[in-house]
Amino acid sequence: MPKDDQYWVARALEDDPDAFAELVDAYQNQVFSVCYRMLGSPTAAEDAAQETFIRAYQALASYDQERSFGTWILSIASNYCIDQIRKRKKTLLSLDNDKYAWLAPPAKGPNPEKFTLKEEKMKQIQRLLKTLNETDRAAIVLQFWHDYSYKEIADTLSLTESAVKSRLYRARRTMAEKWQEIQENSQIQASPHVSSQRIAHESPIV
Amino acid sequence: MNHQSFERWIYQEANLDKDQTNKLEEHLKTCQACRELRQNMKEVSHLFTSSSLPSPQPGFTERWKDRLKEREKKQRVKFTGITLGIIIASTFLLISSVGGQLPSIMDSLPQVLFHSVTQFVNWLFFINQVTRILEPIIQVGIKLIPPAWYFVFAIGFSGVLIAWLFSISESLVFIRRYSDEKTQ
Repeated sequence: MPKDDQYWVARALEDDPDAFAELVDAYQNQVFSVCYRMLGSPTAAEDAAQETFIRAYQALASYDQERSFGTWILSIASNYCIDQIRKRKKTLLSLDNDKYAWLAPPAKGPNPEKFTLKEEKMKQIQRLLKTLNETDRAAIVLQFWHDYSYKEIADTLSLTESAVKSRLYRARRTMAEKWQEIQENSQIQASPHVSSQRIAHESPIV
Repeated sequence: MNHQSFERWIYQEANLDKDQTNKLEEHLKTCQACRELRQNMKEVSHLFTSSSLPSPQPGFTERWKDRLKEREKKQRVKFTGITLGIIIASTFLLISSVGGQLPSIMDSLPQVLFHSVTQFVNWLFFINQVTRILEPIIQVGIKLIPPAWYFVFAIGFSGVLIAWLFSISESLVFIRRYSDEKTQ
């Protein structure tokens, strides 16, 4: 654990909210990026990141100082996002009804050229992550963007190392399959003759 | 080795040893499906690792401070509300239980007064008897307890009393402030 974190945690434990604000400054990008990758929207990510720091501040007395503050805060963020996704599933089932909508090309707006490469990349990432269940998604986010080891992911998500390995294996396989689908779909869209043949084959006229 | 084992290796390629990597390379020369799978996996990995980490809008910490203040205020209001609710409920229960007895008391007031006086005299007599029994024990106790302990008891009791009065006054100040804020 970096020395600075220990210092600010000790100060925050003496009821100094400004000391904890230093930790918020230091970890806001990491926490926000986990929340963004998990929830897929900047507004939801901002809300989740803010909530993560509030929960951490209020539970600071239970924080084990032997543990890395970064791991601890990302653990709170991941679990909070997992809960949010589960709640969304219960309340907003309609969003998932259109499970394969993301395979369709983006709707043509007034300026379709405004879609930059970066934005498109971000969308592709979110589309792939959306195909995973919440815990698998958290494991993938921690591994890819935060370089967490199997053990660190296991500690963060309260899983065993072998469970993490099998979840990561399953998640990678799901994403590779979806990626294949995206590629095939874009090829079909590029050749309308093939596309119309496939539509005629797949959806018979009733 | 079967095909599924190679598939598994493709998904965990970063963790393979040299021997496993060589075996996988050999298999890939002959298996089109695994080559495609590996290509897909590489593209996904590249897509993920080449993207930059998103960051929040500027002023995140200030927004967090405001939110924390708001949350703490709400929690205080909730706590005060619960405390007051308990006090009001217990007061109501007490009053209603006493109030329920009032009509019967009013009907036979002279009898009740006579009974109360009799009870009071009985109690005085009982206390007198108990005091007589306890007196020698108390005297021995007084001799055994060092005088400094009386001060400790007195200070402790005063402390509890002050804390109790302080918490009540703080609650009242907070409720007044909160109601002022609401009316503004």
